[in-house]
Amino acid sequence: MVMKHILSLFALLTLLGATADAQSVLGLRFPQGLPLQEGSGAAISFAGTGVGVENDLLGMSKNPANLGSTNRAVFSSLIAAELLRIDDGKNKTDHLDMNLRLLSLSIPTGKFGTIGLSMSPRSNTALRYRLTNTVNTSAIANQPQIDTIELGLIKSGGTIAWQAGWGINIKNKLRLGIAYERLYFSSRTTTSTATYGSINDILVDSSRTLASTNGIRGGVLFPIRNLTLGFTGEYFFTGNATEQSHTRGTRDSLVLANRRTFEQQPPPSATVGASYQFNQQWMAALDAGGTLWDRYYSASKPVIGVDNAYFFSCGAQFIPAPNLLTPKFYEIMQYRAGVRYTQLPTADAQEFAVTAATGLPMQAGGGILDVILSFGRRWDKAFPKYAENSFSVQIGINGGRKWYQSSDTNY
Amino acid sequence: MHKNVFQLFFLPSLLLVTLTCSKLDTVTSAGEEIVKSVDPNQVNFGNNFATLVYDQSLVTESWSLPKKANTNFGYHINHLFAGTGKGYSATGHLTFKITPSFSSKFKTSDKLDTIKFVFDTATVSRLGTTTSYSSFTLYSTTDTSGYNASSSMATRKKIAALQHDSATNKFAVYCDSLDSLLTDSIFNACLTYDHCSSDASVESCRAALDTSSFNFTIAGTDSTGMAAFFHAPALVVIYTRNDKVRYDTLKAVTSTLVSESEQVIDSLYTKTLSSFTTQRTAVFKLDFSPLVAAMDSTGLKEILSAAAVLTGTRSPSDALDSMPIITYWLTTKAITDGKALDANLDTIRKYYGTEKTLVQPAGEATTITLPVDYFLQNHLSQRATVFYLYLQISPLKSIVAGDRVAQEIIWQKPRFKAVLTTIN
Repeated sequence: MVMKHILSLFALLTLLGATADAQSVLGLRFPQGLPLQEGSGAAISFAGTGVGVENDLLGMSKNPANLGSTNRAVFSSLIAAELLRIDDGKNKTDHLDMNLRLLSLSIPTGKFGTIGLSMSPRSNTALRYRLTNTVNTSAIANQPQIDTIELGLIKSGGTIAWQAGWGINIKNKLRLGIAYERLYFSSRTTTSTATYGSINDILVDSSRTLASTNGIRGGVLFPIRNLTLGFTGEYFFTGNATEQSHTRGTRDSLVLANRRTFEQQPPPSATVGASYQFNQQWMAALDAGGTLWDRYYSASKPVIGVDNAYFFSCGAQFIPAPNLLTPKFYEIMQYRAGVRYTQLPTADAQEFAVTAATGLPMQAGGGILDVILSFGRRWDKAFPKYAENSFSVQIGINGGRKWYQSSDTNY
Repeated sequence: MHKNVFQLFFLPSLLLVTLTCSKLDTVTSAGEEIVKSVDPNQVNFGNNFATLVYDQSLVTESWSLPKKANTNFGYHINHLFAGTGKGYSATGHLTFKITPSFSSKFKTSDKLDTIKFVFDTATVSRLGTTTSYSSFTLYSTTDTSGYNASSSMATRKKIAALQHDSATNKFAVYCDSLDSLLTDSIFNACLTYDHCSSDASVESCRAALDTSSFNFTIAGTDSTGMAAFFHAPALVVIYTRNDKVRYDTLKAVTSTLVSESEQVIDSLYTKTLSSFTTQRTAVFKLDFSPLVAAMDSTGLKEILSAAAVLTGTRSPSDALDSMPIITYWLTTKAITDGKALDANLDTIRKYYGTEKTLVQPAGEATTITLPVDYFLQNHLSQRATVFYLYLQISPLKSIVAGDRVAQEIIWQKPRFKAVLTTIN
């Protein structure tokens, strides 16, 4: 009954999410839009930390080697709603976006390891930008006619990664994981000029870029008593991209259409992480790594101004009474917090975020419902008055079940 | 435990709903410097827009066209008005078709009492000085089209003048005592269906039945003023069946022919006049060379918006309770008669005035703005500079003509404005 309600709400929120895309003016400067944090609720609770964490609810979202830690079928999902304020010192606008951030499934196959499947958005190009001005278009002296002229820029799309991975546990000393990635990039750009008032009209130019690339991910986890070390890396091969432009110049004989193909290669990335289990109640983790944007390549146009983006994040978890036989609910809730600092793909653009979250056990040995609150800020030193401040609520729904053992077992 | 889960789960959901319902923006104008760093043109109004305004100097000639080539009349289908005034003469044409469904109501044993014509409420416009309805006369005619003025006049036969019933504010014409030949032929047509149903030569009967139509005209004498009838007149057949008086009603198909008198034609040609009554079209010849030169000099070769700003004065005799609907066309084609203009009607755009823009006290000028970028863009890209602007008062069939009979607008030379842009 509980799961039914949760799934219904999840479907509703996903549907809502489909109608509202995030947007970022800063993302306009990045080759593939604004990078998004990846991970299931367990990682996002730690501000995105999780490469050095063994937790089957992470799936392979942070490290494919984590599949080697999985001995039950696990489903993880994450949806996010973000309230964003864009502020340049003169203008402030508030926006809401909702979207799906992760779908992940891990399926253990016994001694043959664990297979993982996942889908997650990696970046978002959405922007709805509009500038207006007024002009006097009166054709009659002493009778002013004030009309509005408008410049518009609308972008939508982003990158989505589909992954199929495999991980194995080697004698409880090492976890190894590898994944094949198919990365899809789709972005539509529409520019418009318009007049409103006594004369109304709009001219629209649009272009769409589609790209797909193959990539591989690999990762390892070393559990050493209470310490776990992790490493993961990702590399993409050169793929083909297509750009189609559509220009509506005149009303009747419109369309100047153009189509071209070119090569594109997304940047590689690498991350190291570690986690330490202090006791049954406390655990902490940290990650550090980078995306090598100087290795990004696009034959479409010169890539200018991008810079490698390094990041650091850490988080901690507290469970008041994890081993009581008859605990109160708040005693088995997982209390988590995290902090993250990330460079964005240009030299002076950065992001900072803090998170506070709870993991709510759903059923004995079953799922965890993550409720994550996050405050973040993005800025660029080159534009000192500009900032994007966000407050987001993310909900992770995670469930697991051993195929060979009923979860209805009562003690 | 589950209760706690749900309380904690729905708290953020409630927060989301609250956020969704709060005032949020769909677009942003913040971050202009960032957009500029990526594409300076995207925030530069000077590079994207040029506003141009032209006074009446673009007009090189102006006149008005009669409706048909070398003729002086307008023809209105589904409208019925009649009379004379202000140099116009209107003749209404009515056709009653005895259809099988109507004829099937009668039996050969029925006895005709009388036939009358009933005209619905009418107004007498201010085109004339007299408001006497008795000056309007109904004629029968063999002219079937209602379009040929001379034929209609030559073949018509007077029935009677309209009689006004002040109680119903309707008008009637009784024709039983005036022309038994006419009433008998109408009634015989009504009996055809019943007659044919028992006749061996049914096919020939029904062929005749399908073509039974009777034509009439209504016209006024000099200076009667012009009457407009709001609804199609009715033919009422009053007859006796089994000692009981019965009646059945048939509605007419109507049209009206309006002629300009010889005296006014020349003077009208020199005026930029749009007339509903005669469907005269105002014409302005324009030279858009300055606009082309501006497009070349600015480099902004796309017309984002363009409009003709027109000031028109409605006729002092115009009824004020109905809006003129302006039909206009801007083209490089020089058209010298209204017939050729008709052939292009499907490409013409209509301007639907609103009460605020065109309802003014008669005689006062009103200014309207007509979008013309649609017409200009293609032709200017082909380097054409000479254009003709045609302005009509729309002859829409669905509009009751009664209060539009006198609609006329005299136009001043148009001004033009345009906003140029470029494509990226």
